[in-house]
Amino acid sequence: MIVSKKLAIRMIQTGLAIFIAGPLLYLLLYWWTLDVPLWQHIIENQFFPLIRNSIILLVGVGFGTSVLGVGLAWLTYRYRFTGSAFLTGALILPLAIPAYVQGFIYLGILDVSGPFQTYLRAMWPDVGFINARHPFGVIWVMSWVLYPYVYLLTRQAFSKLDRSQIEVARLAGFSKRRIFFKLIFPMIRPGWLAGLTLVWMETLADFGTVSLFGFSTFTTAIYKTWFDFYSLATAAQLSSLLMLVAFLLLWWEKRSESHIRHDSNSTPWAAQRLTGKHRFLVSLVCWTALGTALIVPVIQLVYWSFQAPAHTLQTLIDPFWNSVLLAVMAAGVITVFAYIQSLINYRRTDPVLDRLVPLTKLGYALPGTVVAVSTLLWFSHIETFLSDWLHIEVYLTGTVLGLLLAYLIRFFSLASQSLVDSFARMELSVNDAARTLGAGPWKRFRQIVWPLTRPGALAALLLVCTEVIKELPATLLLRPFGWDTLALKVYQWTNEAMWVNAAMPALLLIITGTLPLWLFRPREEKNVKA
Amino acid sequence: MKRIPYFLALTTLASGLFAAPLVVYSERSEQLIKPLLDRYTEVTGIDVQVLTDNAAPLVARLQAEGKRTPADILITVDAGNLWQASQSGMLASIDSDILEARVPDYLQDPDNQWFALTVRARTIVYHTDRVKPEQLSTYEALADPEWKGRLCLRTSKKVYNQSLVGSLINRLGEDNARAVVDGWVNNLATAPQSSDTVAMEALLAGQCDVTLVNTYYLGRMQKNDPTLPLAIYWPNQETSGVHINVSGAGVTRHSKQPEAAQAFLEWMVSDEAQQIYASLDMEFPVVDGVALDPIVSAWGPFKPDTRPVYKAGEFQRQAVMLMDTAGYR
Repeated sequence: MIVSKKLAIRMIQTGLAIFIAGPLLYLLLYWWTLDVPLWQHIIENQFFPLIRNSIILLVGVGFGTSVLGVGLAWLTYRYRFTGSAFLTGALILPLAIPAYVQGFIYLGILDVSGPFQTYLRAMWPDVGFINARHPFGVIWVMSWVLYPYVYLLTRQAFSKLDRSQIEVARLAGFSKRRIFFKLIFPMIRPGWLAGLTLVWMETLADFGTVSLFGFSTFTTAIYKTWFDFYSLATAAQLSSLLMLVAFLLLWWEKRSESHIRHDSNSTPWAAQRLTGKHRFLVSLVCWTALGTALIVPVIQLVYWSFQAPAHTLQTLIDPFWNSVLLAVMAAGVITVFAYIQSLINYRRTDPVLDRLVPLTKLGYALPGTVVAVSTLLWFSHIETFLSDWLHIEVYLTGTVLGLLLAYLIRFFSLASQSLVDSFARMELSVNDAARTLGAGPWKRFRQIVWPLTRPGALAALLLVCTEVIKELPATLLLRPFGWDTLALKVYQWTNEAMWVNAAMPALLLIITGTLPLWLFRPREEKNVKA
Repeated sequence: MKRIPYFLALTTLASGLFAAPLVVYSERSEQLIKPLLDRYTEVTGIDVQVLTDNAAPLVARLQAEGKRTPADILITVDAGNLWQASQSGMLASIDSDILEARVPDYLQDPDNQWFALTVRARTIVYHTDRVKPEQLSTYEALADPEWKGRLCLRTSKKVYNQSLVGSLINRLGEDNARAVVDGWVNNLATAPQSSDTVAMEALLAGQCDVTLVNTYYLGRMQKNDPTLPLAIYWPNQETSGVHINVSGAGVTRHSKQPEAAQAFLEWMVSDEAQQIYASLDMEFPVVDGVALDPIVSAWGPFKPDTRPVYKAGEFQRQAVMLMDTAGYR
């Protein structure tokens, strides 16, 4: 009985992992053939500069999101100031802005023909032309859309800080700086790293933003190899190298994750109400951050929207509902699967299954179109297999079911990352005590596991909602006819460099994406000391 | 010729009563093709469904779907991708007198796997305050030192530039083509832009004086503001002619209704469809005698390069490699 149960769990787990990682592992099959002249060309002309560029981007965006994310989390956790209750929640909203949309907004404002430089040249003709399409520009734009991951997860970690240890350190005469770096930082490190991993995976996968800035990375090389050299095989080979990097990243993150120790008896730390100069400064910093990340881009989009043809809004009603429907369905499906996986995993340390977990997360780090195409190939194999061997005709490609499965492959990692923390906080001893007292599995689940993990499940649900609303490449390639989404409407115009026409769908997309985020926003803690 | 659409309409209407919808995989953005498809439905009663994406993923989808594909027609916006689709065996040869008669030879696949539907000219655009048309002559001449720091170019990652450089290789040989591209790179005022529109905006801002664009991008800008100080120059008129690319279409190998798909392509080269198609994006019709958009006709006539456009596909790889080694990003 015990053996068969264990076996059943292993099978469920392995099946899920194979299904999710399947299309990505499929990329490895492309190593059978090698386009030698093309590889030679890539290595001689692109390889090392591109790797250097990718590293610059990862380091830059990692630094930018860490400073913004950890800094803002610290300020909103530690202090109370003008608007702090609102800012605590609102600072995650920039997550609703697709990075390439933020990119074209900032280029629209700051590029040589934009209002900023036009004004500068009118006032001071000697200024000349400032290069806005600079590596720093990409780092800037991506940091401002991705920092919320770090903010969110470090802020959760801050709210679990134990006051008693800090007070001991203070009494022992440690400086504030020393307390932060030696005591507080190690405690929030897992949260910070979890956020940073998500940031890095999105950075690795990005194609839209870097293209706008003409910044060539490893990912742009994958596209180039496929679209320009017509070699899907070589593109798949390059993708599998990227997959290896992502795998190492996840493995490294998982190792740090296992150090988390949760002490449920910790005494929370009271926030400090700021006054005078300090209140002004901290408010200024946080409001400027929100302004740069969200308010300025939204104002620019509103301004462009007024220039677009008035009937645009009518054409967006159906795409809006499609986006909402797909997001809700996908979020439900993905959360259920991620939850089941976490549930199976949390109390077992099975070395084989543990190694499967990072495999299921790779979809988030690969360029979207590559994931979309490998998913497509995967589906076509499943379809052929079912039809040839079992005589069942199943259509996945071009159906809503197929699209939902593609989202599952892509966003599974996001959902399971959101659940990690909740499950880590659950104490096995409580569950075991309940079992000893004779509570059945369903009762234990309902009364112990679910209440403790509900916040994580909700987080997964809402984060996936926002991501699906933003998703483009898989939707583009795998959608059923007529299932246009808001992201698709944005692409339709940005593809032709018509930013003004893209503004209204982009604005609606951002508004739609902020709704789940707002429901899920972090709240300001209650205890404050004067 | 005028009778063709009516004849077509009648025959296709009859089959349209029972026909499944035609499915189009299109690289062309939806807003630039949907009105035309709607018109086809109006004329014939046949429903047309469209799925848009880049050409490479669409071809990959055709390959993955194989016999199960719902697609009847593939539309792309450049000859290179059409060539690639035919190389991958995803298109069927079409035997059509109408298409043969209406589409010039250099605008179709030698094996009749695809036909151009519109012509897109890639030409020189200059700032009228800072450049006189007499200073311009050919694409090659933009490599001359007098344009040092005055040239803007879109990124080499765009297929239009790859086809252009491919045509240089085809015409001048690899060494001479390389000298031209080296010269362009030397003359760049700033790093290559992400789109033709952004390159022309840099001209307007004063960062550079000349650039190379597909004409319809200028058309769109002139539609918004006819007073822009930008003008078109048709290069290589004494020699090879203006470099052209095409948007075109073919019938998929595994289409369930190849006759209906072929009838659709034949309608696409009718006078009516040509006029709608070309004016949707201010491109040039492949058929003579179709009225042009007023903005387009104001640019005047030009001599096109009539070397077969499928060569763009053959030379694409070599062209991309050449641009990479020349440091044209």
